[in-house]
Amino acid sequence: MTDRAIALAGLEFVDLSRSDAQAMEAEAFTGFYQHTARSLWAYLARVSGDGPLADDLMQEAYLRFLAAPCPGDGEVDRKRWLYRIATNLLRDHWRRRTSVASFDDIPEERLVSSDASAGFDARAVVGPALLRLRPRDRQLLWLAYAEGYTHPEIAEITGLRPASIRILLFRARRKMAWLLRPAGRRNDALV
Amino acid sequence: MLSCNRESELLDLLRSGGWPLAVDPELHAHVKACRRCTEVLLVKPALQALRADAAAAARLPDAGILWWRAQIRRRSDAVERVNRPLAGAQGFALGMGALTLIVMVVTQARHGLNWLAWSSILQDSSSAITEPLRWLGAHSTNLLLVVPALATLALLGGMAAWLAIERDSRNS
Repeated sequence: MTDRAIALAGLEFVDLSRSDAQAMEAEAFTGFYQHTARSLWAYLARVSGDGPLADDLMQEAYLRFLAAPCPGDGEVDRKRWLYRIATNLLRDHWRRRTSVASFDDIPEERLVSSDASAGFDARAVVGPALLRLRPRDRQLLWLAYAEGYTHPEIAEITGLRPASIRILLFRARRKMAWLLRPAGRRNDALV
Repeated sequence: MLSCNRESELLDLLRSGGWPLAVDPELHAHVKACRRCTEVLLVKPALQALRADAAAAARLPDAGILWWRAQIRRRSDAVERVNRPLAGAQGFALGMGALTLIVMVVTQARHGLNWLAWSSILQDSSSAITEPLRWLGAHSTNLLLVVPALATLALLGGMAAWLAIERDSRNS
């Protein structure tokens, strides 16, 4: 059964006059989903360090994406909107797990699942190094260097001020580079 | 200085796969000497490799199922939106009914619990048309409370239902 058939089979009670429009929308969503789902899951899984949580948040992100009208028009805008929803979900999840009000004040060990690398293969050094960073640093690094977003785009996704992105990213990158260097060469990097 | 002015050039090369082969020696020498570019060179490929690994490992649900779930949720949200004013109207009606009842009980208690006065009036009546009017006149205090309350309830209930139907038709 195709995606469209599944979608329409579950919507028998929907007004028939809307079926065509919904079928087109469903097809557009399928294409968008195929283009974005893997990268979104990677973002959620690597930033949270929790594969099953990434599964849940990704599904919720798409459900909210479909429920709320996207402020932009093209696929790039839609993807950025999707990442914004996912970023907010991630932040809400962490806030629920702790009574600390500020995102930055949450202790790092509470933000990483006990089975941090479960469910997917992590590169021996990079994955653990990423998880040693603060969650916001992980997000910024991922959006900038894994996804290739610009500073204004990152500001839009994270809700941070554009002027802050540059300095926050600079610090995060410096720390990540320090963690990626072999232990014997780390002191050189502190110069 | 937070970033190097050649960083974007390096990022473009990394993105396009031009690094390190399609790079002129001058940029090579710069990257070797520039701490910021060295960091970019260390971090970006590492994160991209991590992204590729994670993306390949993702177990994704079917798009059609997600779409279907979104439609179900959208529909239940719409139903909830419709029900909200109706529930409000019901609550309001309940409150008004309770208030009216309390007022009636208090009023009747002050007048000596004269609950069945209407039956004696009916028994004594000689005319089916004039007696109810007399009864209305005798109990105008109660009716002045009850009738406006019932009218208000009917009016508000009707408005709530109309608004709910209107909103539903606008959303769909």
